[in-house]
Amino acid sequence: MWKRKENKSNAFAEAMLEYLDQLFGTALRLTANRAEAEDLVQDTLVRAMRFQERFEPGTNLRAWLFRIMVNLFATRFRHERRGREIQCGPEKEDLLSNLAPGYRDSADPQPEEFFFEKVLSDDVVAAINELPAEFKVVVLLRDLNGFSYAQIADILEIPVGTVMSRLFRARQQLRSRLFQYALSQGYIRTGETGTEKVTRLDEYRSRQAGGREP
Amino acid sequence: MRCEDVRRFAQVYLDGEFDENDRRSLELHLRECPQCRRQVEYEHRFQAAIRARLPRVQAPEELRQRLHSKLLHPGRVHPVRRILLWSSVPAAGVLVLLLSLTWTVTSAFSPRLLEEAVERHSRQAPVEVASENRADVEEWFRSKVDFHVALPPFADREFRVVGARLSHLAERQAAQVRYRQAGREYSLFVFNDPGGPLDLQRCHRLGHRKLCLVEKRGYTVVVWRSRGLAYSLVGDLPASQMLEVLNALFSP
Repeated sequence: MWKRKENKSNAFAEAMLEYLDQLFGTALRLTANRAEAEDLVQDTLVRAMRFQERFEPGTNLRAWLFRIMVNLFATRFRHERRGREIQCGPEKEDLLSNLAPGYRDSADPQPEEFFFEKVLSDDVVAAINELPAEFKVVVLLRDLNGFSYAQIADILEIPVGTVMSRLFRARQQLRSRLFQYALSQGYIRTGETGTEKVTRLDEYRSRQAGGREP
Repeated sequence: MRCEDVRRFAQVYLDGEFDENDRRSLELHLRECPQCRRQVEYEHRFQAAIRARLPRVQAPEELRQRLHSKLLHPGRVHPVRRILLWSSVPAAGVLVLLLSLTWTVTSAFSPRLLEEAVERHSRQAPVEVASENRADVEEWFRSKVDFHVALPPFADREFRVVGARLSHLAERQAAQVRYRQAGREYSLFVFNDPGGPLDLQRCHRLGHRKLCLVEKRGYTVVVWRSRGLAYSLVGDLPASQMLEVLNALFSP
């Protein structure tokens, strides 16, 4: 009888270890620290093992493990560095209020618009590190691990609409940061981007206000 | 579907979260509207760029092996429990025995706790606060752990603090303080005294302190208690030399 239980436990442990790389990859991006990521993953799997009876067979083991890990992360790092804090802002934001930097709404595409194709993997990692934790986690669950909105909602215990809104805002922030990197690294030149257009519009308006011809 | 809707939900569409009707309606709109087509293509290229640049990392082999042995061969508790469960000892007795066994394994200075101290020291994780000042390091921990990190006033001035980080040993919060002396690195772990007996391989008296030492994986762990806290110093010297270091540190 004990043997059977032990076999079942070992099978469960082996099934969990299948997701080790994914859990570690996400933990590494969440904590931005290798040692902490190892600790987080280890604690997640030890906890999951301890509470394996609570896992409902037939449901998604991967999502269940991520849920444990994200909860542990939120508890452990709640009082730590600012970048990890769960920052609350208005969830219902006009999704059109923050247009993409660099994007030009014209039929004449400029290569500089696609600045994000010039940045490096390190730039993306750095930009993700700077995101508030609540945004970072949705991006990692969606873009690194391919979870659906419903699964992310389940993992984070938030409504699907909130997932959608956080993901949108997270990507907008990511895009803004990458745009700044692209500028500072010289991947793009300011004179040929959408942002410059906005600056010129400001100049135009101030010149108008001053009564001078644009 | 209007242009505004396409802009609002382009990401949702690209994430494959639209139902069949919405998808068809959006795609019909795209066929007619070059501006929205551009918008969706832009979003698509952005998402693809991010996904392609997010590094897929592999878990370290050492972590994989550690977890493998931890989860698949979780120690010697099971066979003991099995014998107890199937013996004719009355249930209450079994419970008391089990509780005391569990207490020994998880509450006291368990092998796991000492093993984790060695592991965390040997990993050389970066410090979160770099300072040579003992008071600054104590202050740094003030809001981070639920005990007062009182660092011992070591007598040897060459045994210098270099920094500290938050850690944990056997699921207990621990302050890990790194020291350096004569080119060697040491980690001092400070944590709430877990209680229970302190009887390791060798124990010695240094003044009023009882120091116990154990050698693991080429490292020596020294453990002592003071004012409700437990201290565990890890270094790569053999036990006899570690004892000499401690002697100098605690000399009056």
